[in-house]
Amino acid sequence: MTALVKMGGIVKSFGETIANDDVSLEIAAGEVHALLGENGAGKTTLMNILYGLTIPDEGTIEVGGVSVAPRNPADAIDAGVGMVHQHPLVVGALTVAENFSLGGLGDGSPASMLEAVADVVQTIPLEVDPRARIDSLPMSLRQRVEIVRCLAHGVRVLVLDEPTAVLTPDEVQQLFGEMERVVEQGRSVIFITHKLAEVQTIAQRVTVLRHGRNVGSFAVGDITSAELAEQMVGRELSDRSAKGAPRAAGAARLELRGVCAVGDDGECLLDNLDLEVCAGEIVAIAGVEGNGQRPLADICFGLRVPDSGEVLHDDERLPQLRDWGRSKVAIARIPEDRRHEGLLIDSPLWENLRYGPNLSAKRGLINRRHEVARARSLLEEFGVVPPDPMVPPSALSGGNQQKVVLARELSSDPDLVVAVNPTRGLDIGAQRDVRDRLAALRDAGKAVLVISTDLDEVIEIGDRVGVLYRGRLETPIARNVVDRARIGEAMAGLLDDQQNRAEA
Amino acid sequence: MTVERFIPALTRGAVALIGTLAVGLVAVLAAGLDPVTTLQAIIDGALGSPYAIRQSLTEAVPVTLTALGVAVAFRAGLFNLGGDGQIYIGALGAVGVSLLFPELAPILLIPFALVVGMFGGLVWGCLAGVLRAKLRLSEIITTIMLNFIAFWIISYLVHGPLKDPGGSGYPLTREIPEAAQLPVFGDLIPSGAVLMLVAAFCVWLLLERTPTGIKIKGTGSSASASRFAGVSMSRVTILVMAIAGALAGLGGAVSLQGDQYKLGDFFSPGWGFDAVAVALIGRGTATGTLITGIAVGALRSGIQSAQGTAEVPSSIAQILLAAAVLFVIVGNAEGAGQLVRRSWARTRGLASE
Ligand SMILES: Nc1ncnc2c1ncn2[C@@H]1O[C@H](COP(=O)(O)OP(=O)(O)OP(=O)(O)O)[C@@H](O)[C@H]1O
Ligand SMILES: [Mg+2]
Repeated sequence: MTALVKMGGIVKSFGETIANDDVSLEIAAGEVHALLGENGAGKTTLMNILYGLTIPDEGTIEVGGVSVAPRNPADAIDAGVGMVHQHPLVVGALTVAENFSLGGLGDGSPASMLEAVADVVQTIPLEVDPRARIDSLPMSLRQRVEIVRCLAHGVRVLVLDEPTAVLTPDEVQQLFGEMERVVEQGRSVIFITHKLAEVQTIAQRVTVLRHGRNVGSFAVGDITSAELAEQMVGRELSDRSAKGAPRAAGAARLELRGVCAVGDDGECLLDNLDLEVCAGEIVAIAGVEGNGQRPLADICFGLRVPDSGEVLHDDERLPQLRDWGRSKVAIARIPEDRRHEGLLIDSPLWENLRYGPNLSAKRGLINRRHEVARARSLLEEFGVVPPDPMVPPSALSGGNQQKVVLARELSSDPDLVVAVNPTRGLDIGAQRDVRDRLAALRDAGKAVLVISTDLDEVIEIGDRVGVLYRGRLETPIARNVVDRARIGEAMAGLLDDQQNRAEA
Repeated sequence: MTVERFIPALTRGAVALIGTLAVGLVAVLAAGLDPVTTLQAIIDGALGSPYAIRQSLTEAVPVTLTALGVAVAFRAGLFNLGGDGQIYIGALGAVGVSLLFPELAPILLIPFALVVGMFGGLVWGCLAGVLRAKLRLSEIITTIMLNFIAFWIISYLVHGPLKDPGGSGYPLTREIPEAAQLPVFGDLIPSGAVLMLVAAFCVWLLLERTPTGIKIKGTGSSASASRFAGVSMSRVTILVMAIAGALAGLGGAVSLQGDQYKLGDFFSPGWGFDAVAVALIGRGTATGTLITGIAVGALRSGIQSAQGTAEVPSSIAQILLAAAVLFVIVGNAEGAGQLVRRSWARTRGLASE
C-alpha cells in the first residue's frame, strides 16, 4: 500500500482541552477513508491541521512522500490537500465565479471561471450559474462549488467534513458517485461522518477517533457497524429505540390553517398548508431541502408572517416574536443553522443561554453570578463539554454547540417544541440523546414538531409523519401505518407525478 | 493558571506601550528636543501640581464621555464618527439654556443646561441611527455629514445671531452666567470628572449587567442570531446611536459649563475623532475607555503645558495617540481589531440586512 498521506504523532491542545493526542493516520492513494468519532473527538481539528487551518503543537505530515508543514490553506492546496469544511467557508456575499477567483481561478468573470474548471466539470458537473450568489444556493450546491474548487486546484487528497449532514438521501447518493469518480483517478477522499451506514457504503477503510486519540484503523469489510459504534464510544450501545407506542394526543398546541407563503419573486413557497400539533405527540415532517421547510419553520419560529392563513398557538393567534416575552409564549425553537441563528458564536455561553425573546431581568439588572451559576448547571445538565459558562460556542465542537441551543430552548419550560434538523451533525450518542429528550418532552405532555431532511429520523421519532413537497403537506399520518418506501417516494415527488399522470 | 491568563494581556499592553514610546521618542528627537527633559516637562505638566491634575481631568472629560458613547456603538457593530457634531449640538443646547434662563438658581440651571445639552447630542446621534435603521444609510457617512451640518450651524450662529456684541469681534457667544458654571470640588476635582465616572459606571452597567447590554453586544456580533432571538436590529441601532450622541452631547455641555464658558467655531479640538481612538484602545469596554480617556487627557494637558516650559509641539500628542491606536491594534488582533472588523462587516452587509 502506498500511503498518500501520513500524519504522525499529531498533538494539538486548546488551553486545557487536548483535541488531538498523539494521532497517527495513513491514507492510501485511491481510497475513501472514513473518519469516525463522537462530537469533540477531534476529527475536524485533525483535518484542520492537515489543511493548514490549525497549526499542531507536535507531529509530522507527509503528502505523497514529501514532508510538509502547511501554515495556511494555500500551503495545503499547494501540497495537494483540499478540504470542504463542516460549515462551508465560501464567501456567501460573492458570486460563484468571484469565489473561484479568490483562490486564483479566473478573474471573477463567469467565462474565466468556466475555463478554469473546464477539466473538473467533466467528472463533477457543477450545474450552477457562475453569477449566482453563494448564499442563494442550497447547501448541496454550495458544497459542490467547494468540491469543484478544490479539484480545480488539482488536489490529490480531498477532505470532506460531514458533507452528508446537509444532504438529502438522493443528494447523498449523488455525492457518493462523485466521490467514487474522484478516487478512480487515484486521488483519495477523507470522509467524516456520523452515519455508520454511509461508512459501510462508500469507504474502504475507516479510522476511529476517541477523545483525541486514534483507537484504530480498520478495513470496512472487517468490521460491523455495531463494532464501530462500540469503538467510538468505548462501550457497547444497547440497541433500543426512543419510541413508545403511539398514544392519544391531547389538545392542539399549534395549528396552521390554510397557511400560504409567497417568495420574493412571487413563487409559492407554502401552499394552503394545514397542520396540527397536539400536546403529547411528536409530529415529524420529512422533506427534501427547499420544499418549504424554511418558510414553514420561520412561521413557527415567529420570524415570518404567513401571506394568508392563520397560525394559532394554544387557540390564540401567534404574536410577533418580539412580543413573545410579554405574552409568555413558551415555544422552544431549534433552528437549522446553529452557528448563525442559534448562537452568538463569539459571546460567552452564559449570554448565549439567555439570548432569546424572553431575555429580560428583574428590576432591569442581571445578576451575573446567578446567571453564570445557572449557565453552569444547564451546561452540566445537557452534557456540554466543557461546561464552562465563560467560553464562546466557537470553542465547542458542533455537537456541543447544538447541546447549548437545546439547553437554552428547553430551559424555558416550553409547551411546544419546534425543531429543524435537530440532530444534524451530532454523533450517535448525542443524536440518541436529543431524540430521547424530544421523546421525554412528548411524554411529559408537550407538543413537538420536528422538520427534518433525515428520513430515518422522521420515522424513528415521529408519532405522526408527514411529507412536505413543493410547499404542500399531506396530513401527517400515524407512524405505525406509514410505509417507509412510500414516504421516500413522496419526498422525491414521485407520488405527485403519478397522481398527475393518473389524472391526465 | 491565573498568571498565565494575564500573560497575553500583558504582552499586548507591553507591545502597545513600547511601540508608542518608541514612536514618541522618534518624534521628540526629530523635533530636536531632549527626551528626558521633555518627558519630565510633560509629566510635570500633567500631574505635577493640583492645578495640573485639575487641568488633566478637565481635558479628559469631553473626550472620555464621547469615547464611552463610541465604545457602546462599537459593541453594537456601529461606527460613531459623529462625536464632534454631537459635542457641538450638546454645547449649543447648554449655552442656549444658560443664556436664556440666567436668573435660575444654579441648582436648577446647571442640571437643566446639562440635560438639554445631552438631549441635543441624543437627537444628533439618533438622526444617524434612524437613517441607518430605516434607510440603511451607513452611519460612517451620515455621522460625518452630520458633523459638517452641526459645525456650520454653530459657525453661522456664533458669527451672527449668537455673537457676543460686546466681544472684540471674535466669533464667540456671550459667556454663560455663573449660575450655569460647574463647580470644582476642593479646587482639584472638576464636577465634569465626577459625571465622567458616573457615565463610565452607567456604561459598564449597561453593557455588562443589563439585558439591553446583551442585546447590544449580540447585534454587534451576529445579525442573524439576533433576528432569530427576536432582537430588533433597528431598535438597538437607534438606541445605541442615541446613547452615543447623548454622551457626546453631555461632553460638549460639560466642557462649555465647566471649562470654556463660551461657544465658538473651534470649541472642539477634534475630540470626536480622538474619542474613536480612545474607545479602540480601550477595546470597547467601559473601564478600558475610561482609563485610556484619562490618560489621553493627561497627555494632552501635559504636552500643552510643556509647550510653554520645554517648547514641546502639541502635535506630539496627536502622534502618540495615533501610534497608540496602531500598536493596540497590532498587539491585539483579537480585541480592537475585531471591533473594527465586525463593524466593517456590518457596514458591508448593509444591503442584505
Ligand atoms: N478553536 C478552539 N478553541 C478551543 N477549543 C477547541 C477549538 N476547536 C476545537 N476545540 C475543542 O477541541 C475538541 C475537538 O473538537 P473538534 O471540532 O475537532 O471535534 P469533532 O470531532 O470535529 O466534533 P464534531 O463531530 O462535533 O464536529 C473539542 O473538545 C473542542 O471543544
Ligand atoms: Mg467536526
